[in-house]
Amino acid sequence: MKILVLLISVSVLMALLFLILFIKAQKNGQFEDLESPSFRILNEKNKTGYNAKRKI
Amino acid sequence: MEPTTSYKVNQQCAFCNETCTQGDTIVRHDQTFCCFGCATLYDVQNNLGGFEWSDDEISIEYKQYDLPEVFNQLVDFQNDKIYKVSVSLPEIHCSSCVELLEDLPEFDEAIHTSHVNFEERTLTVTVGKSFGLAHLSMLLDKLGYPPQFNVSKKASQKRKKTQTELLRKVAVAGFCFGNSMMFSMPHYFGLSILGDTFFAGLFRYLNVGFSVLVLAYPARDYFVTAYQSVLRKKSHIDIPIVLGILAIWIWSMYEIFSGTGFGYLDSLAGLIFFLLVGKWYQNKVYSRITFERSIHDFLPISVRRNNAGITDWVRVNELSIGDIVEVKNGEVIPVNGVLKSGKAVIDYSFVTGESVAERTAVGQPIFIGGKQTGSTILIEITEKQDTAKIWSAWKTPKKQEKSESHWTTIVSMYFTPLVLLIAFGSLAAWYFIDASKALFVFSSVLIVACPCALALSTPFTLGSIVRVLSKNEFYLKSSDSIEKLAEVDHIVFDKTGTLTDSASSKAIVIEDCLTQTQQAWVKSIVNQSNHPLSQGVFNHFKNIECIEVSEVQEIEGKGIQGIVDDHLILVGSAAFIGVTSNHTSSEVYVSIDGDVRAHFGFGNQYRKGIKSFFKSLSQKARLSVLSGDNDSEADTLKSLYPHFQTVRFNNSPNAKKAFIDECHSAGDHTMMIGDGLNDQVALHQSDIGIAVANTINGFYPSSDGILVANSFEKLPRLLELTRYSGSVLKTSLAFSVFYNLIGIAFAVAGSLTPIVAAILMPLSSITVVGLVTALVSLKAKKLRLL
Repeated sequence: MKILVLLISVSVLMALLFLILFIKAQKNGQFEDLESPSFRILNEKNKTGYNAKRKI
Repeated sequence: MEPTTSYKVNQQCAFCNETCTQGDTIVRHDQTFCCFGCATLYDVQNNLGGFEWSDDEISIEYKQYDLPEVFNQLVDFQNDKIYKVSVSLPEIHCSSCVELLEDLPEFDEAIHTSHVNFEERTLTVTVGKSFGLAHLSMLLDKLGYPPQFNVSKKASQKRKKTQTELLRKVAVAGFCFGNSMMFSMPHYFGLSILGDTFFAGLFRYLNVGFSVLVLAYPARDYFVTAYQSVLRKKSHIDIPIVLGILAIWIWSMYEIFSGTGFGYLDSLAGLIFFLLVGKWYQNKVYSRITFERSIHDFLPISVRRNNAGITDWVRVNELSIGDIVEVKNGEVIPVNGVLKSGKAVIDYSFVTGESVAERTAVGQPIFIGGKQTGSTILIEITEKQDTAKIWSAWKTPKKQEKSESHWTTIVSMYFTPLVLLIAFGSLAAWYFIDASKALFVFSSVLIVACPCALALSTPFTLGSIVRVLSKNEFYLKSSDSIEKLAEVDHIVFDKTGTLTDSASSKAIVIEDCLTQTQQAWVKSIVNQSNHPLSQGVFNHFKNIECIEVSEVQEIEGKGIQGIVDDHLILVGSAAFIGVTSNHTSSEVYVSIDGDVRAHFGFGNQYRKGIKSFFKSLSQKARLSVLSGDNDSEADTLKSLYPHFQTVRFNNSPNAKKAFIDECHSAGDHTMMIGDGLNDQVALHQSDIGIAVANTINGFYPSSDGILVANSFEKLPRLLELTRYSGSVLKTSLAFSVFYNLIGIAFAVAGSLTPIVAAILMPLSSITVVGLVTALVSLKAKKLRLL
């Protein structure tokens, strides 16, 4: 039965860890935009060919 | 860049292969694209790219962003080299948009980083100070994403922050609830672990810890509100909630520390968890929509001064008498003055509601707030510009919250004394029956009578209705408006732009073989006519300057002709041009020197299904129409629906407000449906004001909600759903009263065992939440809204 002490503390600590991770993720803004990362993964990086010219 | 044309048909995008449905599509190189992002990326992929812009193109609206006081307000961060700014780009709608906008650093080396938030339709950029905010705005505009900076963005930021914090509280409460539940489980099932004093003690003290955490952080707001209401001697639904929470907690502490029981701490955590979920659900913000835009977002505060050919930018309040202000096509008139030169065709629809643009002769006064359409004009300042005074006339007074209290507040007003009465009554009774149990019965009554189900039914009912409404593109500012919507018995419509489709005065190209020069000729000809179809053709040719025309002749009901650059140009009906047509809708043909070169169609003026729309609305409410236009449409309106309570024409915004006041004094619950700015006074005055809009990102001060034009015909069904909210609330109220009665019966009888409390309390919350959500979705399905 004494093993329960270990199991309980592990379970509470794990739940606490997930809570902390959630709060951290939320603070980092991970839940602010759930859609654009899925678009971003397909984007081609460093395209040339926009040929933008600005006349001053 | 190739000339682009707008179509309003469902076609496949040549780049992303999606069906182009949202708004206008872009046509470039004979291909149809769903957005500018796709079109530009197609160019890049096929090496057709080439994008030029120049600093001269910056418009008044954008130039003011460079003024230090505006700039400092708009940017999120700045040092002496760079600045960081978030800008709302309502046009973002697909992955190509994201890709193009995140490639923004390719367009100018001063742009360092660029990041899109798709859900909020915002772009965050870091830019070198050499590249001002006005340049950035112009670049985005040229790319097809006209930016919207929000000078008054603080309110929506605050709303977002509270919601984020609420979610965090939900997480903490959920954590405590789950763990607490787990440690209470063996107790409920009477498992032998109870015999083990070590574990029984451990579980109890862990639960005490979780409960303290719940009370300290997630439940804090309830204590604060309850305390404040008590101080102000006002009744509030949070008072009985706090009473219940305290009763549960204190009694549980007593049981645990006296070793007589296990307490109800898991129920307590669950209660707070459900309450917070309900609150979060109700306040779910639609961050894409801003209701908080102010007049400052709309009227320019700096102008292009053109004194003796020298152009510079100055603030409106620094102008002196005699200064000349230049206003280009599509810009808002920022000053009061007289027309110095140029062809002023000014659309005052924002101010007066009159949809036909007004022509002003040289020397005539020009008023602030109109929009110049056509060529550049010069305005001479004849009076000192008192911006504060002008703005105060435009300012939208804050919608006053009616002090009428919500019925849950009224219920809680009776609820608390009643519960206390029962509690003390049973305390007294048990004192004579079995004094040892009296205190237990007293606290049991307080615990079980907690109005949690009552407090949950309102947020979940309103929240799920708001969710259905916004799925149908009817966005409400606050969920409280639902109950006001349900009461409406008199609906007042604005005509222009509300009942009629302003987008339908847009030309649909059937045939267009005009060169750019010829487009300028045609535009200059139709510029001479006030006919709505001429205006439609005129507006079709964007970004083209008008030129001199001669021998203009307008033949009423047929068309207009004139000579430009020695070419005879005819614009008008099929008969006028001399071709045969089998179309029935309004059409405009263009011929140059006798050759038919272009052919435009115009859609129906009134919105689709308007007849049945009126019919179904009139079952529950009386209808009226107020129009800023002249009465030429009176007969048409009558044929659409013969039983209007009132139909008025030539109404100024203030006359509309006066009408709403009249209705109120007659005891009507009014709903005003209008379009944004020109109806703002009436929208504000009515019990509930709804702006009908083609996009959700315009300027809709003092409206309680936005109805996207595409969903206009769904309005009767949407209103039907809001009317249903009352019966949902009553049903859920009946349920929670039923649960409370059972619970109190147990408690008064002195047999509220922990297992009964543990089952009864979460069960009542869950059934109430489930019931209201199910009822609302069933009704919405029945009304074909889901």
